[in-house]
Amino acid sequence: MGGNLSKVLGRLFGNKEMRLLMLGLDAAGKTTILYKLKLNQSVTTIPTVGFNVETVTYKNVKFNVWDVGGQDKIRPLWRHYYTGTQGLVFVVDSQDKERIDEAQQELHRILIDREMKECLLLVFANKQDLPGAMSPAEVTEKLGLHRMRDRSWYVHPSCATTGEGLFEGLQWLNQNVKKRQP
Amino acid sequence: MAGKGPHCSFVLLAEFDIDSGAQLTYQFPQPLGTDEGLLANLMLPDGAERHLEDWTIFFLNQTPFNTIAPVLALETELSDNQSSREDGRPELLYVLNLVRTKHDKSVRRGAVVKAMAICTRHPFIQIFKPVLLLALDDYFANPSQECLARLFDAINSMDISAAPALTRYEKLIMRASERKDIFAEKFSTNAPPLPPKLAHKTTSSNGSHSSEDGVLVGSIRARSTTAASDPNPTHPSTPSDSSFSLGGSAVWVNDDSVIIDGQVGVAIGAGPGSVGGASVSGSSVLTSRGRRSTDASSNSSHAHSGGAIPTSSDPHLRSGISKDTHFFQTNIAYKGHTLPIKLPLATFPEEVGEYSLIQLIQTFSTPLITVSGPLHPHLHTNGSLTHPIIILFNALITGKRILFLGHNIPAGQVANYVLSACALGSGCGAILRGFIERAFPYAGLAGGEDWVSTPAYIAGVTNPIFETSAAWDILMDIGTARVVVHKDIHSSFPPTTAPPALVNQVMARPLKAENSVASEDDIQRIATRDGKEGAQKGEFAAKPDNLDNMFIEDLISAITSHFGETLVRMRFTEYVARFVRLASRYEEVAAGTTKLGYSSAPFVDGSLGKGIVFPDEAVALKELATNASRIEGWRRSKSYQYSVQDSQKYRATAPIQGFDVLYQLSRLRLVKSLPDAEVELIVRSIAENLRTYEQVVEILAYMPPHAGGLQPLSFCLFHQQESIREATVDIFNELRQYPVGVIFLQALNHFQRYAYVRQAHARESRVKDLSHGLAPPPHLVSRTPSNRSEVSLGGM
Repeated sequence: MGGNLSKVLGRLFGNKEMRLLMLGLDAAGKTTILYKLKLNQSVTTIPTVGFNVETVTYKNVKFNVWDVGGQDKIRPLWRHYYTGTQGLVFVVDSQDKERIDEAQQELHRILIDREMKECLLLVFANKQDLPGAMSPAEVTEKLGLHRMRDRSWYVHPSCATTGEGLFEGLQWLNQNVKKRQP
Repeated sequence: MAGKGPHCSFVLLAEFDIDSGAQLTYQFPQPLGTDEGLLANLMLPDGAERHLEDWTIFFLNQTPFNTIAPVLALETELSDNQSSREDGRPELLYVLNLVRTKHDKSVRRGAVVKAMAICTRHPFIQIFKPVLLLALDDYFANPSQECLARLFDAINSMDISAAPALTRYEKLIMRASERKDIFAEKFSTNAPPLPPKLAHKTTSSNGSHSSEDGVLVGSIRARSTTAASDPNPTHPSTPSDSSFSLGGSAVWVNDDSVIIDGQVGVAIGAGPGSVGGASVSGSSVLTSRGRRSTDASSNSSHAHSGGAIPTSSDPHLRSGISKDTHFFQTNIAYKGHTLPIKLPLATFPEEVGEYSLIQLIQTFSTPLITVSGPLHPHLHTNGSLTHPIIILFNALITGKRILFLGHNIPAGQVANYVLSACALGSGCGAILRGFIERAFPYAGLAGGEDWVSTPAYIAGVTNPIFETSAAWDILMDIGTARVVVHKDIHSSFPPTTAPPALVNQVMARPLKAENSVASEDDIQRIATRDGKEGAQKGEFAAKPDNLDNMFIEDLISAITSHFGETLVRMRFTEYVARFVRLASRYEEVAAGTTKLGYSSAPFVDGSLGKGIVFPDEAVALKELATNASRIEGWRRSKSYQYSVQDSQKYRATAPIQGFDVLYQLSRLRLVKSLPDAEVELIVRSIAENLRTYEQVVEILAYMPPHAGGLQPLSFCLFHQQESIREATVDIFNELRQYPVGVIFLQALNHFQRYAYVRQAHARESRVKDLSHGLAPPPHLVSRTPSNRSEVSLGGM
């Protein structure tokens, strides 16, 4: 009851909440993105054993961001986080051309899950500062996003250490989730 | 107890591979035969990389998914038929796991996370912490399977064969006692515990090496040496005069004069010693007795320590024996280090690890705590004023799914809350059981479907995703001190309507109570319990003077006054024990009979009462009414079924048969103006049923120090009826035969002890006068004020 009231008030005053799930292969830069958003600092991260969750407020929207470890053996645990997710932030290491196909497979595996049917897809083509990084267009193509018709998706270049591109991504999520609300 | 089988069944090593994730690297000595991913994820808990070190605890063999299936059967399963539980499921394995994150700039991605775990059948897993720390260090320095093998061998070569095995009642006494020498006699170096009377005789015959037996054996040995010269040695219950003076001084020596000057203690000791002769054993008696008197004084409320006389025979100055008899001291030899191990002796299987009720109570008693969610009759036994700890207790006994959440809190801490909760529900393992088998002290996403579907699970998680994704009934958030009852609790546990038969019984029965309107109101509430909306509203009436609220307030004030964990545990054990008796009474009222075995009856001429003691019948009805819902909930739980089995077993095997001892003691404690006839029957029944050591131990277990020890009985020493006083002296004389009984007698205040010594001595003098026509030895008459006053009181 109290929750509903605050939601109504939130809508009136432009406060809203959005639950995001950030996934991607290991060492793509998910945790660095999370803490850059949260603290506006470039932190040195170590591999995430389980998950991190932080609330990031941007333009009156509270983003509840879950960042889950991406190593091969712990990917089966991703599905536990699907329920209630409004936006999937899929982080790609743009320099890692060898594993872009693996990333593509994992992304599709996530999106076919029933729980993820409705959610928005934001792809960060991360590590744009590194030499030889794939362009957003290249990442789009390698991930096979053009074949996705029923979903709103958006690919944005980013550099987690400097923070470039991150808020633009959130901006897109914010605008698109708005449209969906009745 | 813990002597059989290997101490460590398996050693595991897991690491977080930066490319592939959590993986189980080694299993020693053989694979467990369960899902490796599950084990690896349990060993590397969520958030492990945020803490440099974390201890976690989890169990195996609880659910089909975490049941192990080693290729080679465990050694113990060949020889030990107890390795499977009653329902044929394999015995639980407790896993103690240490995970460590080492930041290292030189490795890729800057950190190494590794975990090592020990799987054991011992619930007191905490004793293995030091050796596990060393072994994981070793593994970091030099990763190989050798490390696991070394740890495995080191733990399994630990020798606990000399650890005394205590019976249930002995354990109850030991855990309630703060004396560091309780049951010191059990630590005899001549290993197997003999029946005590015999054991003492034998120690007296070879007095030289049993001096470690502690302070009390000295007096007993002395007594039996003098008893040898006693012309009438065949009556152990009427000790000879000189033997009494020795043992008797053990009881009253803790006098003010002794406390002021330790030398007096020696002087008193010297009296009978000189009578006993200058034998070697006599002199050792002397020294140990001199020391004991000071020991007793340091234990008294005077807290006097200046009188300690260190002597060569001081057992505490020697090596090889426990400084605190609550533990058995042994060691683990690991790579040239000798690690001291303190094995707790008085724990029950429902007590796993180092739990802390104080921490649990404090966390959920802060003023900032929020309790939200719907009210449920099983949980909110005092409406909106139900204390969170009572809500938790009610959830535990009525089989709700309980989730402890500690986001950003080390998994080891969360696990301790779960273990503490199990202890809370079981009355610290002494009363109920069936909590540990459904506890998941650390649980994660891996194997999640498995533990979440376990009925009435008690789980600890660090991942807040479970708040939304898992099915739970009550959420205990450690970090934010939040208790949430799930909004669907009423559909998970629909309020029940009492069967009409039950209502009729309730209506018919309490009419006997010719008590106030209030009680009729209560009857009405029992009768229509859960039936209608209106009744439900009545039920959630919150009363600030509710017994449970008073109990918790009492505990909190004890904690703030720095009373220790022991007291808190004892109080909770008592609380749960009383709950079971209350439930038993409820069953009688509601259904006519009780399966719990504590059927109730008042004292009627010639036969003792039994059941639960209430100050009066109106209070009884009120309590039954407030507890009715949770008792109904409990009666549908597994822990109730266990309790029915256990109470049958306890009643069949209790050393004291034929009457309800605890009830009698509660009568003495609680009821004002007890009829003389009842008091007489009580003390007489007790006196007649104290024939063996086991019976003495049972009755002492019902009189723990925090409840006043022997006090309720000691007041009978002052009863106006001689027969009652005499029977009480008989009881105390019997208690005095055993070191543990002496410890209890020493805890009485001076006045009470004095009354006992005076009366016991008077009786002995009488006996002696009659049988030998001798006057009491002069040194006894002139020695102490007790004898003088005995003379002056003699005519009364």
